[in-house]
Amino acid sequence: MPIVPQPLPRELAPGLHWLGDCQLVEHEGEILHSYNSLYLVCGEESSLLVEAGFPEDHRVVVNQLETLLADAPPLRHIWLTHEETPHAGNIGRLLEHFPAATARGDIHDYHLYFPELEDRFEPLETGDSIDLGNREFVAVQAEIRDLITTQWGFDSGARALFPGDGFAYAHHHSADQCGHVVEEVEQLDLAAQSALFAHYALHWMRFVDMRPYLERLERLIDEREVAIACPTHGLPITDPRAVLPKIGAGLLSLQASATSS
Amino acid sequence: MGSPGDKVVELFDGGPLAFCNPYPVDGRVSWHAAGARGWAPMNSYLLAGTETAVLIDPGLSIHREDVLEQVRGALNGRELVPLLLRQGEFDSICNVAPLVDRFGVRRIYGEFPDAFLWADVVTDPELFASALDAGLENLQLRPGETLEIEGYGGLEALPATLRLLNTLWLFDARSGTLFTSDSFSYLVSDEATGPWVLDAGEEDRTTVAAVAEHLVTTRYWWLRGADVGPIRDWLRDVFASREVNAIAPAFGRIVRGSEAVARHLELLDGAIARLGSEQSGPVADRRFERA
Repeated sequence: MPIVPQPLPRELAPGLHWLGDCQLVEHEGEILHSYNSLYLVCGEESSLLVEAGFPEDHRVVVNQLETLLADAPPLRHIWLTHEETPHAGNIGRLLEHFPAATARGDIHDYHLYFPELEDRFEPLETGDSIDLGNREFVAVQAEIRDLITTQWGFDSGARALFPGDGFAYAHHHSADQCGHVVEEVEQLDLAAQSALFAHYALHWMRFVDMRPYLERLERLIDEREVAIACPTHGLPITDPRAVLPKIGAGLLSLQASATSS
Repeated sequence: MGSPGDKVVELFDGGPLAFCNPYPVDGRVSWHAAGARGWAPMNSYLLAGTETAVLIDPGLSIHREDVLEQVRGALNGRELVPLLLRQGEFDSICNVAPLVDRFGVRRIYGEFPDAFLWADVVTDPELFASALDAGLENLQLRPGETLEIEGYGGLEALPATLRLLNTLWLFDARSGTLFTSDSFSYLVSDEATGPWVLDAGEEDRTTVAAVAEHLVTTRYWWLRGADVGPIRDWLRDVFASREVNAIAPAFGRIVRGSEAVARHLELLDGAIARLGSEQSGPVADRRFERA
């Protein structure tokens, strides 16, 4: 069952749909939500799913997909940012459920996890693209990552960036925040939530100067003219240039607190 | 590559059993350097007490039948309790549902209190349903806590300062075995039959440079130019405050014997120090290399 009355799927832009469910996280007595989002990109000829989602969300995701695909080109591609189970946990089940789909991205290791599905995984190198009809999906360098095999993605149709664990932050256990883009949720302290997520999930940031990473991220947003950022663990962002400084402040505060402790 | 039993190593008398199930290191595995070649073990460890047996990291799908047989051969009527060191990573969890199904698992330990929800990745719908029906109790093992295995001893959970993703290290004081998760994972064998344990006195040509190359081209790409002082301090303290007789990584050859343990501590510490002193730069993507 969904965690809250399910506001998803939601169409963020023509042919770009947001799917998934919230995951409850308890922090210092407060219930936070962290999305394990997926996104469906629909071209004129085929559709592509960004991420395979968290294992627990399998039934929710399949229901959402079947609803959307009833009026969209067939699902041919499931692109994964990386192989952690909140991102790729359902890949085996989705490949079984959608026999015409192929898993794309950096496909190291999957032959060890899903040997029976090895021929359903096809590499997509950074810089390569998939033509969906009237739009292209491109694998781009992941400026913020955990696993070295991480990729980010970019959709030319909506100028949407799929940054995986980039722009990651929780939101509050409240119907007013679930299912919204971040610009619709004024009371969310992005810097604090970004720092909190990094504290728990991006351990390496404590030891590294994050400024060059943030600078490269800003350049990527400018070069690609990113109109919307669709993270896996944060509410989507329709003004990424305005939001990036807040996210950056959170990440830099994590580094500062690690240095001072 | 031998029978399941051929890949079981008793690390010490009465101590952990290691199920060392090999996979090819051929450029397709991201936790080995792209140019590394040979064979490495994916290690599951069984600590058997009077009534329960704790299995650390149930391992890969390609080894499912071997792991099931290895557990069967060692369980002797005990309750099987899986303990997931990296519950968000496939290499730690692939066989959880098959183990639940085969051995009637009722309790699972993970770093978070919902381990099975992260680990339920099987495509077999019957296994999925079976596991859900099992009424599993998801238990949390927090850093600083000790899991008591009656009739065996305590398994200490250490916070891992050297880590990429969420994980724990574990220390078995009875045998002096330090379970280091994804660290100390660089040793491979030339042959599919092993050996899977590097004992003191064996030829060992591992260098600081090789360990550094392993780290920076795999999970520890971020160490170059990083503030590594806290990591090195923590690492040395772990070994200084415990009598470590074996280093037992999740993958890669196991290091056994105090001399070998001391040497590999110096190698890893030296590699971290070297990387920390280098200038950081953009992280290159891995390139696909097929066998």
